[in-house]
Amino acid sequence: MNQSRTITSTSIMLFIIIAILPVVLMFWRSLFPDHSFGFENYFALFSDPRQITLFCRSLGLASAAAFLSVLIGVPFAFLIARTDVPGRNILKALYLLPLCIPPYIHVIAWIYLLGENSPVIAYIAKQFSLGTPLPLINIYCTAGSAVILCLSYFPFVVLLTLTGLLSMDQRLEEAARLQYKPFKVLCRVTLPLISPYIFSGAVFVFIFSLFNYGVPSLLRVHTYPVEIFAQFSAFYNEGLATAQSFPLVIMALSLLILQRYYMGSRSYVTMDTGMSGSVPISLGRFRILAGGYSFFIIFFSVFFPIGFLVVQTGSWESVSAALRTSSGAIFTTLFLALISATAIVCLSFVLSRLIEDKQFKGRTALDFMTFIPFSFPATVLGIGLIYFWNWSITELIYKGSLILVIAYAARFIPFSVRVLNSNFKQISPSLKEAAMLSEKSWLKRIIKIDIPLSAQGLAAGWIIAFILCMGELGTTLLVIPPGKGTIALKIYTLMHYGANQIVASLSLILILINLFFCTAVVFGLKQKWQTAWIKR
Amino acid sequence: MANSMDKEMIKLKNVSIRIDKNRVLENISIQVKQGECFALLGPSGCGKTTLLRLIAGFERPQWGEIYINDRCVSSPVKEEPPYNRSLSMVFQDLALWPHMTAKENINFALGSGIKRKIKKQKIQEALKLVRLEEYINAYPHQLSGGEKQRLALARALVQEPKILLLDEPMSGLDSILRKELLEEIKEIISRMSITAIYVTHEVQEAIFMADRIGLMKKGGIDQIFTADAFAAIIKQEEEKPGKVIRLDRDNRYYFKTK
Repeated sequence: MNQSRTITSTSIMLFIIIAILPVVLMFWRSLFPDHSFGFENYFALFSDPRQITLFCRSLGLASAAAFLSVLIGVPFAFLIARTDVPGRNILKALYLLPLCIPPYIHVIAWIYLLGENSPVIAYIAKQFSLGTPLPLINIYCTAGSAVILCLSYFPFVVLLTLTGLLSMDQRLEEAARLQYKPFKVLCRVTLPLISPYIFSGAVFVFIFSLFNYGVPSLLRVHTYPVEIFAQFSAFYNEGLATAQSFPLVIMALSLLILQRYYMGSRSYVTMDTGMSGSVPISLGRFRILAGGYSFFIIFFSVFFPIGFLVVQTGSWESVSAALRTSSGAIFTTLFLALISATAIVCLSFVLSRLIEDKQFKGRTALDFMTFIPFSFPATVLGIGLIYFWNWSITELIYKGSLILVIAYAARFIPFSVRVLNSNFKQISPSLKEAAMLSEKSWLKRIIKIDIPLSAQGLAAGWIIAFILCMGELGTTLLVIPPGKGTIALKIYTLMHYGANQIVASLSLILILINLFFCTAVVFGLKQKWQTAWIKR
Repeated sequence: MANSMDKEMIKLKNVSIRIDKNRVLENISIQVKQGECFALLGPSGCGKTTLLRLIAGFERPQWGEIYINDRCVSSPVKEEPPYNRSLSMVFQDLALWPHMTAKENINFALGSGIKRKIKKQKIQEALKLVRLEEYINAYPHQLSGGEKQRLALARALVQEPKILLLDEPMSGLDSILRKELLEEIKEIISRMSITAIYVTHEVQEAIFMADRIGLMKKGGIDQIFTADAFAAIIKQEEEKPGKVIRLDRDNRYYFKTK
């Protein structure tokens, strides 16, 4: 019992220190603008009309990205889960791949194609004697950012909609299908039943887009995260920078609470290896059209950015030059991502277990707490971490790589906690109870029973954390110790120097590392399942 | 000196539990003697499984005390963990660990602190007892429904428990297999002199398995009969339907009219 208490209380304390205290301290400090208590920063924020414009733009961008994601994600999920769309199995394997490509890499590809120095744009302008930027295909605007954010984040909507479709009782649809045509069944039965999942997916896309720094920054769209970063790093006005994040945090927290209420005890992810057990709905003459639509989405969210980066790289020499000049950054990124993802999953495992433990009295509070880091922009978290760790006593942490591990853990623990929670919900409690009847050692029960039963969730949580750590930019920009560099940071810096071939090469390297680790983990797990207990 | 068969192995004194503001069990008091099989019979939702979980130590009573072998294991101020209660359980969903083979399932149930050689021998004996020797390396998903049931029983018995809790272990099986397995379980329990609590909502199953039957209704034990007395009531009902007992709304469970 002591063993379990020590580990769980240490994990809770670690989580609070890593993810909660830095942002609490940051807000506390924003209330002391000149070393005396006051709301000056907040008055300055709310009395400036420019801030309201910025806020509305950020909201507009996030809403448009969420709306577009629902628009393309829900039909996509329905097609691959319930219909005989051509290439269904390939689509099932590909739909999560856009998440392996960080949003700013999507932007880089689109800038190469439609940016101001794009040969395509120059050709069109010359052919039709038009001036640049072309009015209809100008990506340097809020709409352009929204489309790119949608292409990066729509898999969240697909994933959650699929979870809803897989976890609902299909007999409910089949009963309706005896009376009505599939479209009516979809509108009257399926969509209302999976609406909490769709809403959750939209909330995730909204929040990620609202807080995204890389995409609007590269497309020169001035949003709140960009402004916060500028206030802190250019004007050294950390008080105002913090105050500026306040409306975003309130907005995000409200949406997350609403999402939590709407989702109830439903799982965010279904750990399932197969899809629907029933016969897929025949699309008839719309089959080709539906297939075209699905592959069109996959093309623009996966093949287009990767293809364009390959073209832009030009030759093997560029890749070789990127490897030669950035080997330190590649190694640092990989090392940090591996360490951070493992630490994140370990901590998330203990926290998720507690959240799912009905006898743990603080489970609701802990559940809510693990949502809090979701509601802070990366730049704000970065400022918080600087306040919290930049002391002589913590110099070893702040000036070393550990600050980045802490930063990644603070940002990404909520993701793996949600995945593991969903996994735990799907494990019968009696499997753990049966172990409690015979094995006295808590640690042994964890190692022999809990961990193998959660293998799928642990792998999924690890992959998500790894990919997110590999591409993290917003917080890294602020807390990176002197002399250190990551791939994301290098890409971001080199973009501004116009080193297109190296940028494209580094982007490709980052995507390939993500794909390699994803494939390795999925393949390794599948091998294990096939030989053992996949058919449980 | 008192007869060892008269010894109370399980004793519940005024046990009540409230889950999510609802009182699930109200003032339960029962005693089960050593070697006795006590069946809890009642419709779904009447609290049978909760009562079993309280005895196993998965739930904690808000009121009352639970004694196992004259030792207080559960009260509002004291709680012995399940592994310190010298009992085993066959779960309704069997709870066979899917990532472990039959051998590994039994091996883990034996706990730590036993020599490897002895463990090996015990595993073989347990599998032999339930006639599953040839499935020693099979995973649960490779076993049929009846074989899974047997494995769950072997896993529970290998610990040589003084008390065995069985939570509707026959649910989901067809009637022929059910009868066959019931006979096997009854024979093993009686041979090993195990004190058992058997939860079911099937009348004939309770009569066949138990020495005494506790009828549960809305979170309380309504009446307790010996199996013979209860069988007689059922027989009487079959002769004069509706006079002695009546069916509940699930058409499964009989209440004696007062």
